[in-house]
Amino acid sequence: MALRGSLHEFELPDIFQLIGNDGKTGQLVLYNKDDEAFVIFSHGSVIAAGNNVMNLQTVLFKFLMSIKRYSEEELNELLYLCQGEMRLFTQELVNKRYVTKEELAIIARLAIEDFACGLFLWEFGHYRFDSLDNVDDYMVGAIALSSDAITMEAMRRVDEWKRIRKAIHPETVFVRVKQNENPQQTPLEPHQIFDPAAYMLSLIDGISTVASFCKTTFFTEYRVCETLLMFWQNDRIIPLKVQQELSKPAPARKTAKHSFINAQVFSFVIVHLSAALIICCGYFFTHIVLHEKNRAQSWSRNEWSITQSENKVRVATIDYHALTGISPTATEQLKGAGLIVSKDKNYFNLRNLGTLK
Amino acid sequence: MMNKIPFISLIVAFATIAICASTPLFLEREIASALDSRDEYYAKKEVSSFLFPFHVTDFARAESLKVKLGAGVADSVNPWHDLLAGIAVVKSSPDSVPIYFGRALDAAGNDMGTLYALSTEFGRLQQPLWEQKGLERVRKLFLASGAQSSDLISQSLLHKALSADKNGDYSSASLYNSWSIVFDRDMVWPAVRAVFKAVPFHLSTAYNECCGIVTTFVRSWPLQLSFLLVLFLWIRQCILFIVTGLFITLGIVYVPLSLHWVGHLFPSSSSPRLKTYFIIVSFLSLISFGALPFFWMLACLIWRQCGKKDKWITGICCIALVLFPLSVRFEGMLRSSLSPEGALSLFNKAVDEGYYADLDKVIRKHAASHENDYCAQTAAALYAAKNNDMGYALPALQKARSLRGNDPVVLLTEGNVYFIAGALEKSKNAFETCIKQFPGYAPAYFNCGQYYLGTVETIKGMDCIDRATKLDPRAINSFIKTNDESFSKKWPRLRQLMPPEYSAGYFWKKVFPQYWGSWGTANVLWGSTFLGVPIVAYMILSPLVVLLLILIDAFAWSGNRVQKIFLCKLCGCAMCRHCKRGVVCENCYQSLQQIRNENIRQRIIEKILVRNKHIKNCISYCIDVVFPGCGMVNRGFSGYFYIALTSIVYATMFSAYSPAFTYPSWFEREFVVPLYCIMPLYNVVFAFRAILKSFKEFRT
Repeated sequence: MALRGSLHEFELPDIFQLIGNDGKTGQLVLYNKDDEAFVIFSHGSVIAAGNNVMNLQTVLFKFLMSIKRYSEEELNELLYLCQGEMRLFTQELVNKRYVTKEELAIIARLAIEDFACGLFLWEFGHYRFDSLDNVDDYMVGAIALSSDAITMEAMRRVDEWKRIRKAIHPETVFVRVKQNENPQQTPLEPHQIFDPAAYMLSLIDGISTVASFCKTTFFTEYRVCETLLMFWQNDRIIPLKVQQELSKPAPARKTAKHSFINAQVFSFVIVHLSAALIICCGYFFTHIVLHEKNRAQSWSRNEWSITQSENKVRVATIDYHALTGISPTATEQLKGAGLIVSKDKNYFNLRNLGTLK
Repeated sequence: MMNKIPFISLIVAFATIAICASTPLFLEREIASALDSRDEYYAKKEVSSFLFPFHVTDFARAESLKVKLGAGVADSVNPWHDLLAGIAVVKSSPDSVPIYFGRALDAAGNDMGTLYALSTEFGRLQQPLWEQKGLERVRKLFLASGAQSSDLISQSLLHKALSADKNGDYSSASLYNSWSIVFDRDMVWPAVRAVFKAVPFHLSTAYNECCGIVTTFVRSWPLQLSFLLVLFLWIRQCILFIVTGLFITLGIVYVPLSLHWVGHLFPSSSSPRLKTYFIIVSFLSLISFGALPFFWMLACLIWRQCGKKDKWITGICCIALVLFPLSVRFEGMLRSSLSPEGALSLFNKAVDEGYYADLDKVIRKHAASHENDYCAQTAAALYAAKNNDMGYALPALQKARSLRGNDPVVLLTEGNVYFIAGALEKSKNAFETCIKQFPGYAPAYFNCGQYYLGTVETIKGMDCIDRATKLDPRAINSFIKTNDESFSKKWPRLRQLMPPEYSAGYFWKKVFPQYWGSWGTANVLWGSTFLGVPIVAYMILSPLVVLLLILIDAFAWSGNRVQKIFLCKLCGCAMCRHCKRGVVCENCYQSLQQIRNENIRQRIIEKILVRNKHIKNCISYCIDVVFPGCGMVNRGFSGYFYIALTSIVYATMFSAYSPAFTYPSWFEREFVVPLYCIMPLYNVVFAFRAILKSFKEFRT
């Protein structure tokens, strides 16, 4: 089965939701001119993602070369031996102790999440989804991310990315604020892999630009910039280059509270006025426009009850007269004496206007 | 004041119909006139202040009364004088009391009104024996006038029975109850009350009373008709409440989704919850156009958003709405038959009540305006015959005969009228025709037997009466027994023949279809139920709307499987792509966007989820207070049983309010007031539950 179309007409969250809800297995390919990207789904969950520039293999290469210091030739040879199959390649990496299972899982998770979320920035292009019977070859370290979770995170990133882009330029250079931290601290500490933020912080040396971080580290551009922005907002780092052009972004939550309240109060009043107006219209329509029909309907429905109540009032009048020696002049007296009840009085009044003859 | 506006407008509307106010009751004018003459006499003698209230043991008052009356001065033509004279000497000279009281009753003569007023006065002045004697005399005159029931007398006696019962005077209560049955052959209330009192300790009494109720019920078509109307209205109320409950359940879930686009009209700064509230308020205001249009709007709105199961539920509700006109038609049938100004009611009155000019006028007017109505003509003939107005009765009878010659009541009335008129041969022919056509109709045999006995053909007469007794032993024996008790062997002319009456079976098969109105009368009853659209148009339109919904759903809505409007994954607010891309709403996004630490993010997500669950639960508990069951279904539990139970409870409360029976509300109140006290407990229980559970939710 192939599902295809334009992203302009059918947005990526919808596609993810559809595939996720139906638990499909297959490959989603996005393409726009020369750009191409893919996401592999297994039973509705994302197990692999990438594009024509970056994928899990390139990330692993970067990691192994920059942190583990293996040579590119050595890694290429290993990949060649595995016939280019990612699953075998990663197994070999673990077996030959190039990476630990935990490291592989963290890197794979980060890469899949980043690449999949990165696709949501695409506004134009086309998509095609092809069902596949088996996608096990794409699976690394049993990582499978829920498509809902990916969509949620991606949507957050789409909004966040606009803010990050305004605040951080690729040529910005950051320095660490705290004096007691050693700028020459090596990024090779193994435990730092498990905390990407700490790892990023360790890389800040007052010389490297944001663009260089993106190029040299195994993180995506988004993750680099987001981490840097967070440190900047927490006053752990400050930008050096083009500092005069940059202004620290205000927290998104701080907005004009008063205008919020005013708008809400205004809406509240308008809505209730509208509701009152609709009720009045309803009342006007049913009671004035349809007055004749209403009257005939009420009479037809209440005729029997009114006559019964009239008879009850007549009997009560005689009883009251017999017992008190006074002829009652209003139904209220009969009700007071316990000879009739409110409903009799109300029905009686409908035709007799409360007057006892 | 605002609450009274509809009521005032109704009063104004009905004021225009006031001209056709119901006719006075049988004996009303006579009793009122007798009471006026009593007051006049008391005023003349200046004794009113001694007598209201009066207690027989008050010797000083009796003495004063004696002085005021001027002892020894007899006034044989004024029953009130003798009454007071007797009362004045109750203590001082008890032997002369029967003389005075007997004279009072004699002075009342054959005036049923004065006799009944006198009897009531005996009762008020604590002379129960003489009250019974008075009632006996009233009964004789009452039966002799051809009457079988008097609402006025039976209701008054019922009131007295109730008062006596409340005061612990059970023997008087029982006596009054039995008298009220004498004056109304369809009276079942004393038996109903006895059943309630007997259960659970005297089950055999309850059983006997139940048998009595069933016997009366099986015989009396007016009772069946009114009971059926009450039962039908109750069942319909139940179904409508069930539909309402289901729509509430569906509306809570789907209205915010369906009307999400309305939220975009409000400022973007408004929170999703506030927008949802605005949407619900705006939508609820549409109910002012009527419940039925509102339900249809709701069904059309939510259909697209509904899941498969909920679509079935909506479909069932829609079918109930489509069938609603049929229920109106059925209600119209029953109401047309019960209409106090209709031919059936007038015929029933003509049979049951003695002659009085007011009713005669109404019956004749109705007969004149409904010349093709055989029942109206029969009623007019029968009633005129009660007044010996054969000049009017016979032509009316001919009309009825020509309109429907094969009706047992028409034939029996013909025989009865000729018998009263003295045309015995014609009378016999009519009875025999009736027997020939309706061999199972006992009154025809009895009346024919009476004819033969009157013409001294004793063997034939006894044979006919025997056959009548075999066919309906209870009715025939009761008729003979009542006559023997009241008149010994000198039966008055109008009591010699059994009145023409329909058996319940014949009524439902042959008579009811003639008087069950039409779609025109149903349309009047339908009125403005659906924006003034006529009932027939609604019957055509509503199935089309359902069909259209099903077709659109099958061919358009079901094709697009991606939801355009969905719920935020965290807080459950309705949202769409225009609100925000992704699966969380703006609020949740704002709460999470600053958080980089995954653990903290997870904790916040959990917090939002839990808070959402609490809010949803609390709303459900509150809904359960208003309509128990809906909230349960909303929380995902199976609350359909409670929806049905709530519908039954609410329908019972609503039905209990409508005064469905002839008998006084203060008698119904015995059953209704406890109902009103118990039923709200149902909601109170749910209110307590809501408070406790909400407290628990927020505490956790």
